[in-house]
Amino acid sequence: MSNTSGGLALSAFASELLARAHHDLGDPGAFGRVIQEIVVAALKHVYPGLHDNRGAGTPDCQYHDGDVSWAWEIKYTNGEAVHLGSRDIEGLQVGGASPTARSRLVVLDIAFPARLWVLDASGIREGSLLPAASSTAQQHGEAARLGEVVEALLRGADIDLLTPEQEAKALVLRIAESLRSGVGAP
Amino acid sequence: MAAESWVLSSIEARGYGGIGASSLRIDLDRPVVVLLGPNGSGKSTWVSAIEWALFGEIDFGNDFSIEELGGRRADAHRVYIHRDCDETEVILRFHQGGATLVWRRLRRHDRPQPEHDEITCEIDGTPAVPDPSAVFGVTPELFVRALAPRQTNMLGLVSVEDQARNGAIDRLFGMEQLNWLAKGLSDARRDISKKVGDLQERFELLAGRQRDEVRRRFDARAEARRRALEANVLPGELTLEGARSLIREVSTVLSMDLPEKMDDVSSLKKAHHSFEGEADRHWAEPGPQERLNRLDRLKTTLEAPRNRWQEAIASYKRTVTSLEALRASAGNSEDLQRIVAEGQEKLGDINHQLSAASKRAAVLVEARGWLQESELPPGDDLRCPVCDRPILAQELGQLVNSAIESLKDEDDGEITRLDAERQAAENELKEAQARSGQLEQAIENLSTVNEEASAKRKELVSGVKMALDVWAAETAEEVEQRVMAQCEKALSVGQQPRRHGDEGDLDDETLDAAVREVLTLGAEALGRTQQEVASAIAEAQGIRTRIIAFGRLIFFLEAAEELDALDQDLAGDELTSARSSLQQSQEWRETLGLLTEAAASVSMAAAEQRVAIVSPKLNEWFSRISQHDLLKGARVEVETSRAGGTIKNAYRIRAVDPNGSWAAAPGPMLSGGYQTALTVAALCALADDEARRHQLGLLVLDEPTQSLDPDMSRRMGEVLGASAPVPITIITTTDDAFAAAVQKGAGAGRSKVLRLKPWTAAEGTQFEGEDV
Repeated sequence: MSNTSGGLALSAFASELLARAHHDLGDPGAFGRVIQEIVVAALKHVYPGLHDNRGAGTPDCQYHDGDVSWAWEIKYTNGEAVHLGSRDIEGLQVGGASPTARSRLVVLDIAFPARLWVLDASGIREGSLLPAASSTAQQHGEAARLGEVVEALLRGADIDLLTPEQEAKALVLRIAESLRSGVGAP
Repeated sequence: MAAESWVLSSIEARGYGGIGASSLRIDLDRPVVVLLGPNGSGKSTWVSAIEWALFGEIDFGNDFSIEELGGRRADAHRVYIHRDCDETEVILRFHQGGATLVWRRLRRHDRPQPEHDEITCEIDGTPAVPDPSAVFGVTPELFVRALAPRQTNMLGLVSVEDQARNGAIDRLFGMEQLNWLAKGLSDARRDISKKVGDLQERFELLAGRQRDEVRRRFDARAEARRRALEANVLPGELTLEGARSLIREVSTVLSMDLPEKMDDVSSLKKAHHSFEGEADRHWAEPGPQERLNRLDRLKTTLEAPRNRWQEAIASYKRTVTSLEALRASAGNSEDLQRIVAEGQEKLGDINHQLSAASKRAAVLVEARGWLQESELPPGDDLRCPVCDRPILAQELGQLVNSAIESLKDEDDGEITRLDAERQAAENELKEAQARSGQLEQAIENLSTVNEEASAKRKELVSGVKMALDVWAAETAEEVEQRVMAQCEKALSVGQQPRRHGDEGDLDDETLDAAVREVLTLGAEALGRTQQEVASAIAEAQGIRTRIIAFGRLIFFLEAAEELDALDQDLAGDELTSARSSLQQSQEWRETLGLLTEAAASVSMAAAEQRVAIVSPKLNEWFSRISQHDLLKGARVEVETSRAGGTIKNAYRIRAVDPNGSWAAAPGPMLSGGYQTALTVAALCALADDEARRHQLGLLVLDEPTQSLDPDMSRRMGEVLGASAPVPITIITTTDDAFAAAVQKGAGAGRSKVLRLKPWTAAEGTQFEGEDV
């Protein structure tokens, strides 16, 4: 992995695995949910007290670390611009304009080679967003930490990830659990 | 609403174009002035003098600009100065109500650039800034478009070629720059789209090559992983640490030292190689193979010979039993020989008696025959042939017959009895002889099986010795010690001379017991040895399985390493920058697309606005000019063209019937004359409209009668004369009739015709006179 102006480059293995999972699952919605599972699991690994807010509204994840309020919205794309709706933006602004608010847009771009973006979402507006065009908003350090865990999850799951949505998500959770307990892949 | 216009009242020129050094002047004291003269007489020179005076140069169109003529070079600006003059001067006079404006431009041959021109503008004798835009609200572009349109542009308005027509109407409407913006943006978008396409193609090629390689290595890694899992490597072991753990396990089992280095695939491969050799050795010779062979051979060497010996002994014993039974039933050999001899003697006696009786019977039969043949009288006495006493023949015959009967009677005759006795004696003899033969045979068999048993015994003892010889040659292991000792005992017993009779049987039993013990101990040792070997085989198999697992784990790590080696390329600058450039270009394309659509919309809105105003005026002017039976009106249409990705306004000027249901566009449907009529109508309509936007009351129509028939020409002249759209209209023509028609249409005092002489080099442009 390396952090460049083109986003955090994931490994060749991760790129190909994600491309195949995308292809094999067929349903973009199902794939999106698997991606969310991976990213949320990785975020939880980095921020153990993180609150998973998926399904309840936006943002997808929240975390309060003292005075600092974190909010993450997770998207995936296949080389195209991601669409941000008004609800996405509202969710990202839950911390308001406070200097201690950290709103992040996490974009996993699976177009070969896959890239991970962790963008500062404070200036992001509703509409289409091409991550590469917002490269100055990339939070390199956060992307590197998150990317490392995403890589570990993908390598732990390996090609067993190429399975129906529910099984894939369950596998991701098992890998995440084993990473937390430090025993490596189950 | 524009302010009141400055009306051009005179043009004075010297040294300009074809006008010589002497100053000439045209007074524009009528609303319509016609410059009439042959081709080349200088009509257009006067028209161009107005433009030059105001702007310093003439816009010859895009294809014939000053830049094309030579840019800023001085010669390019001298073209306006008469060839025999050092300078040129044009003075324009205007009036507006009671005010007078004098506009003057002078250019010298030695400094011909426009910035060196001497320009003055005085309004009622007061100098003003000589800026046409400020004074008249006119720019060079507007002047050419709406005040003095070129002939080429006039023709372009009705051109069948879209590009020429659209360009001309754009210029006519003053939409050129706005439309250029939309067109330029759409062209740029098309170009950038193509470039984005090229960039995308190059990126796909670059990324595609890498993707193919990634796919290939990913598949190889997946296959290696599948094979490793098949070899019972756990998913969690598919790491370098997993490989190290396996090395530790295998080296312990093989009792080998741990490799010094095991931190990369290469060192793992070396360890695997050495493990493989050792594991193969374990696999090829598992456990105490030599001992197994020795014990196996011992079993083979003793078991079968012992069995064969025991069978020979059993056979001997069966033969003895059989012989004893025979002897019990038939006696021994001497008895049987005596019985046979007695039988033979008895048979001899009976045969002798039988022979004597047979001879007697033969004599008596012969005697009876003689008596019968001698026919002796019944009372004759005879002497008895036996006792020699006298006997009667009859009596003698009776005696003979009686004697024959006692010999040969079938029931109780002597011969019959003796024959039966002979038969019985013969049978008895045969039986005795048979039993004697059986006994002899049994005795012979006993000898044979006895020899056989002896031979088998020797064979067995030889086997025991052979086994001991093997141990003498190879070192006996502990497990074999007892077997070997027992073998020595057995050999010792076996080598003792076998005694005869029951003692011999005891010797056999002792030997057999010793050999049995050897076999029992041997079987136990073999069993233990076989277990050891089986256990060693299982262990070797286990090692081999782990070695295979280790090998496949290394194969997986190697495949994974090969795939990971591509990470650097994927994160490399080349692909990253290509991707960034592509995405940036895509974004620009999107932005340009939005700008293009916006510009196209603005351009179209502006064009529609102009069309909405100009089209009714065009209809009005065309209806005045047209003499067509049906096409009495005209209209301008505009739509957005997107051909080839270029977005621009596309126009059509059509002549239409009064209901507007039939329209004819320039081309085969509309004659050249009516096309000209449409053009002039359009120019008048536009001049009419544009007059609101500037303060220069002037319209120049340069030879507007092309392709017109005389009637149409006259009609147009009359219309233009009668309805000049601006305060001063200058019309150039070569057609006398047209000039007359203009005058007729204008009516008395509203027009004049200035006649020009054919131009000569000596005199230049000259007026012949004027018709008022």
